[in-house]
Amino acid sequence: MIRKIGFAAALAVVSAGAQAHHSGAMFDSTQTVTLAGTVREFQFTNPHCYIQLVVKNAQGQDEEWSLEMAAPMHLLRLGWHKSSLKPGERINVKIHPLRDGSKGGQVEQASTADGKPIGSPA
Amino acid sequence: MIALRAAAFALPVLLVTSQPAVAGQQKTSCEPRNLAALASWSGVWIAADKETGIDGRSDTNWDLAGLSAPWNDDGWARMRTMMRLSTNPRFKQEGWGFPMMMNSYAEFSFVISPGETAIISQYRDIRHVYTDGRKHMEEDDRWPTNWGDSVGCWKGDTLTVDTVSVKFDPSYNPLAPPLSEDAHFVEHLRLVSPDRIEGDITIVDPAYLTGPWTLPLAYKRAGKLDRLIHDTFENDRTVAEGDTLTIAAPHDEAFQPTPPPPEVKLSTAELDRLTGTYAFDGAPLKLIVQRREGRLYFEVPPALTSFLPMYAQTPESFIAIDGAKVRFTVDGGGNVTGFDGSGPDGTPMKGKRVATTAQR
Repeated sequence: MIRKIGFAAALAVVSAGAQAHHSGAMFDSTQTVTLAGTVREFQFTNPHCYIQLVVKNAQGQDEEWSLEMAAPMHLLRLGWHKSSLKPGERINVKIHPLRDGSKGGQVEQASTADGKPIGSPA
Repeated sequence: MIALRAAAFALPVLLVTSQPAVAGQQKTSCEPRNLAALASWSGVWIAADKETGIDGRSDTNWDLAGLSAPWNDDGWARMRTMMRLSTNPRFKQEGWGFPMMMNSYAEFSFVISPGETAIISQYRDIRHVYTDGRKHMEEDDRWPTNWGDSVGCWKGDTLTVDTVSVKFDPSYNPLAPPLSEDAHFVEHLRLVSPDRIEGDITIVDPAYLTGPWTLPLAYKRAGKLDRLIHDTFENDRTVAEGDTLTIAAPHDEAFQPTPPPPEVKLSTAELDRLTGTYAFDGAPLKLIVQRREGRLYFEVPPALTSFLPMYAQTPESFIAIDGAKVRFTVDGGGNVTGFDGSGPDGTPMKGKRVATTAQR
């Protein structure tokens, strides 16, 4: 269920400041992890939205990931809404994982279980 | 070098002389001549090359943060500090401030009225650009703020904004140009098509810049967004851990109701014997006690003029909703004569009954 893809990222000066509200250094932007799981909760909140995603680990046990997204205003611009995700919904996401190894990351892409992108520009 | 210095001197003069709304021309009309013609400025805008993806990141060049500025040596020294602060893994930002709010990924709106154009950002940054011809605040009386002091002037479809007294405040937003508090900013903004505003900003700061610093500005409509929704920190799960940040676990709603303390049921007669007006000892306050249905309520005019509930613990002792404790005192004949107890903060209080009715 969890797949890692490494890629090289060019880091510009002060690029860490490009993350809304806080440094982006907490996420490893050189790594992309693909998760398939079930939405427990979609927090459409400021200063960030979060997907609480339940994912089965390699041992088949449920683990909950905290996945950070942009603020609601930005997501609305990108066609996301409070109702875009509902508890129990199966989705796939690509994330940059937390550097500290916690079950969390920054959502780069999200799609429905059958591969349709979630959200469309407003 | 001589040519550079000459240019550096000439441009500030040009800037000042090109500002119809600025000092020296008080009440020159800078209001829009045709407000209706500016209706297309309404809506939600975003810097053309700064928008984020769903991840909240904007991988862009933060040129207005100072990367392309003509810094002098002292300016570069300040940039070194700015870069260190803004690349700190524990960096957090409370807003953008000016000038960065005009070149960030925060959506914003123009609210144009005859005497003022307000520029309001998603991050709760607000600029008040006065276009009624007033001057800047007097230099001796103004002080630097995160947004500065702005006056503006409409000429046709172009807004010129003159801003002074801007504070570089890294505690608010370290990702900003570390200019001096004497820096002078002039922006020109023009609606070039229904969905695009273009212009430029020129910054003069003799303390840290070798000459005027000009950057283009461009904004586009933020999709079909029909309203601006401000950021808050209601669910800030970004927390420090060691020398970096991480995501805290989701937490329950922090605000929880506090159930009232258990109370004993008193008869109407038991409650009515306590009602009336009490005078505080040592303070110009009254405690007025009323019965409503099966419970006592109190007010403390003139400090508190709304009746709040008190919960009976014994026939004479009560806990108020704010945590104050009141014990009514009774003489040998069984008459209620006063009260003592403690306020919500534990301060002792005491008083005498002055009437059996409410007397404000």
